[in-house]
Amino acid sequence: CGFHLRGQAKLPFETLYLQVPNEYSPLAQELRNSLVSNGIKLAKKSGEAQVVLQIVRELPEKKILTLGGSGRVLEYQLLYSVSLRLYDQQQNDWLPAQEIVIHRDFPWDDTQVLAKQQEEVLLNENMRSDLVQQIIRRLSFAKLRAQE
Amino acid sequence: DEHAFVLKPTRSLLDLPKPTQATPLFMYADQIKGVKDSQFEATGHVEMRRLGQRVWADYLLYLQQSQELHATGSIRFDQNRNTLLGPELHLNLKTGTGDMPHPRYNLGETNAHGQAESLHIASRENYTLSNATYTTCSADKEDWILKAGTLNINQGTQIGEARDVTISWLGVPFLYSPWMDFPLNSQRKSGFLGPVFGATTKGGSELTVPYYWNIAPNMDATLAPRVMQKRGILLNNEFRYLQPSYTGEVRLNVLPSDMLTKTSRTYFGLKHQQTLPANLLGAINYNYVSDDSYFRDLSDSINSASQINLLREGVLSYNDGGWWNAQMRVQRFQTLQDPAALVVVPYHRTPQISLNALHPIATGTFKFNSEFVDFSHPTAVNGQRVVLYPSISYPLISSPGVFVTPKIGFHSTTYSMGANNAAQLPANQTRSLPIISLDSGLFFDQETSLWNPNYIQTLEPRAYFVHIPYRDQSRLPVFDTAQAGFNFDQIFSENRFIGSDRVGDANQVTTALTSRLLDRESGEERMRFILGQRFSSISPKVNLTIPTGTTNKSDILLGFSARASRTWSMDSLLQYNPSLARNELFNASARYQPEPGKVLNFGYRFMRNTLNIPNNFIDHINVSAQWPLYGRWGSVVRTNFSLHENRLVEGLAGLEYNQDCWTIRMVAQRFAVSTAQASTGFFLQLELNGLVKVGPDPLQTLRQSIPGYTKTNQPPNSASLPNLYD
Repeated sequence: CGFHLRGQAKLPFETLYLQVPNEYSPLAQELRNSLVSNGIKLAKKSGEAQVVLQIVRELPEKKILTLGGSGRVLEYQLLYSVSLRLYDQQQNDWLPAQEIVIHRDFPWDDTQVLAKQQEEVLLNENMRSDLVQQIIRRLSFAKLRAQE
Repeated sequence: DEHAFVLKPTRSLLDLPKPTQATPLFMYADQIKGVKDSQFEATGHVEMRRLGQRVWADYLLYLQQSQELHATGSIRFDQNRNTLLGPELHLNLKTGTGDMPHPRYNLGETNAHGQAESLHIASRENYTLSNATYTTCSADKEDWILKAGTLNINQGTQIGEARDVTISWLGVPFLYSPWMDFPLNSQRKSGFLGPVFGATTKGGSELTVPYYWNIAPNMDATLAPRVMQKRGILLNNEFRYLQPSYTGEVRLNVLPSDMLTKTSRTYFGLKHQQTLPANLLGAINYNYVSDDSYFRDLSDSINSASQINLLREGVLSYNDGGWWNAQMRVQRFQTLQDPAALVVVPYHRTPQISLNALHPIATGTFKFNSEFVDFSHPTAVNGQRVVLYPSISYPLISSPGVFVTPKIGFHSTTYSMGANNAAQLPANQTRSLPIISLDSGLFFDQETSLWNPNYIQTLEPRAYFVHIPYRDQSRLPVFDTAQAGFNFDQIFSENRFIGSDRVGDANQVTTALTSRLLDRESGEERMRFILGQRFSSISPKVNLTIPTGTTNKSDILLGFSARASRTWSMDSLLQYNPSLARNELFNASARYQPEPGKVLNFGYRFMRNTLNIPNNFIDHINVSAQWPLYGRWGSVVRTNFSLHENRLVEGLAGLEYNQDCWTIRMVAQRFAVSTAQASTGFFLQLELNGLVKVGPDPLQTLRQSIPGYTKTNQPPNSASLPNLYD
């Protein structure tokens, strides 16, 4: 079969400015670490970078997925969505505005609130790592798009 | 897109300078007679034009000294973008004031129009009408109409003010008010929001009339008295504020005397977030209700009615973006009991202090997690717990195709017991454990997928080893710990428990195989398949109350998700128990979303009550949708049917009808609120565009609970308005 071990896939740019709503947010920190470990130099100002990765919005949500006959929640759905865009100094899109949504179905139990709170934190952390991986993967496919 | 240019909507075509004596005045007519520097008299097809003003008439007399204008016969007077029609007009061009009997008017900006017995023009922007009508419907289809004794239209402040008001809808007068005001454009202004009529089994007929108070650009309030036939008046109040360094909202809902329970019923909620100096962040979340059944009796939404433990906590956290952070939390709960299904009150954490660090060492990572908690409880055993867990991970191989990462850590826990120690647990205990793990994986790509050249296929095998020695933990308390759910996140974690009271003994390997299809153009994941299982060389001995399985093979997890196109997506997960040869968990869901505003979700969910949640046997069918119906009708639906209990747990349906100048919304709902009760209700809201401002509507919560829901026909300002029904 045609499978082969993944080779050194470099990101198609060298310097990047990360524009995030909150630079101390865990997602921003994880994304910065991941970019650096992928050999990207992070610029201090947007004007000094080849491309700007703009995280327009980062939104964790929690919705009731299954309600029990007793009126209690049996399952929540945790959603984590990020809208992003990658563009260069000429405002040309490298990745057009897009949204990545990750979800986890989360069994709930009102008699184990403290454990469930911790589980929710862990699931959110895992979703965040998944998001960072997906963002990096999309960045590796980024290229200068034809002008519309 | 913030880089696109946007035209700013203007109130008039021209920003007009104040007309002066020097502004030229043009006059056309079949015949014009005049006395120099005194007056003009024009007859037949008269048109008089000045910057920003035009008058057409059959006859017009203009007195030059006083700048008075008298016109008669088929008058049309255009000023700014407004048009006034009538048989007669008196206007002073110097002062801008004037009068017109029996006018018909049209406000150019919003197309609001009507007629009156008389009109007084106070200025170019201020008109007062008597015995007037007002509507934003098109002239040939005036579905709603406002009749007022006096009506003042102030385009300077953009507020209309009416006295002695009757509003008719489809010819039926349905509202009288001695006074009301309304915004003339869509800007955020104080005013009444669309009233909601309803009927519920618990409250009888009801009416909610929300008033929105725009206190300042960064501060607002919504006051929504709700009159319930069986219970009395529930005053719902919400106040929100937003400042650079703090933000928050306060809710206070009071039913001073419930006619059914003969008690006063209250909900108070406070959320506040504050940035403090020195990289500190503070947050308060405090909730209080007067009685256990407050939400079951008075809430219209599943989100609030399903609450059991109301949070009361304060958090202070430190994060400077560096390699360590700290947090202190004081947390309590108000537990709302259902007498038929009591729940154990959770421990309070008074306080919980945690300190976490993550620091690179060469190519490895040093990690330190620590936590101190003082657990308190009115009846169960109290105690304090300190957990310290330093660890180092160091990737032996880290390349895009291969990774091998060992990790070694030392987990130590110290307990000191306090009050209510009925089981006589030792006063001081410690537990120390080395935790060793090794995570490894390979990534293979297949550049040319056999059946579709647009995709890249990946193959990602992963193996995760964990070794944790056994320690007898049967005499340790259980404060915050439970068996973790079995899922793909869990099988790649060290501990099979959530919480630090139990650390499971382990000598196990988790293997998993992931395969993805990636879009060659964008890198988006189109399809994913995962298969995973855990193999253990020992039978785990550490337990909570229920013995864990004694086999050394775990259940098999199989996950599949696909996003074949922008329209279709699906998700599925199976947990198969090979020793019992049965499914422990199975769920499958599909979404069809042909365009924004159209979404259909189907789901089937099955989960055995094998773990420690005895009543949570799930065998449910979920269907939800947002879908435009025939013509101007739109719908939202959500249902949740339990096959196990043969009961419709949730059934909610909303309909919306959008006419040009009005919208009607209806919600019918029935959902379980306790073992013995359901909340059943019907709500109806009529919104008259341009009169009663778009506000929170009863469909909002329902819409937001539908996965994939997108906003349609939402005016730009409504997003900032509060949701009363949450």
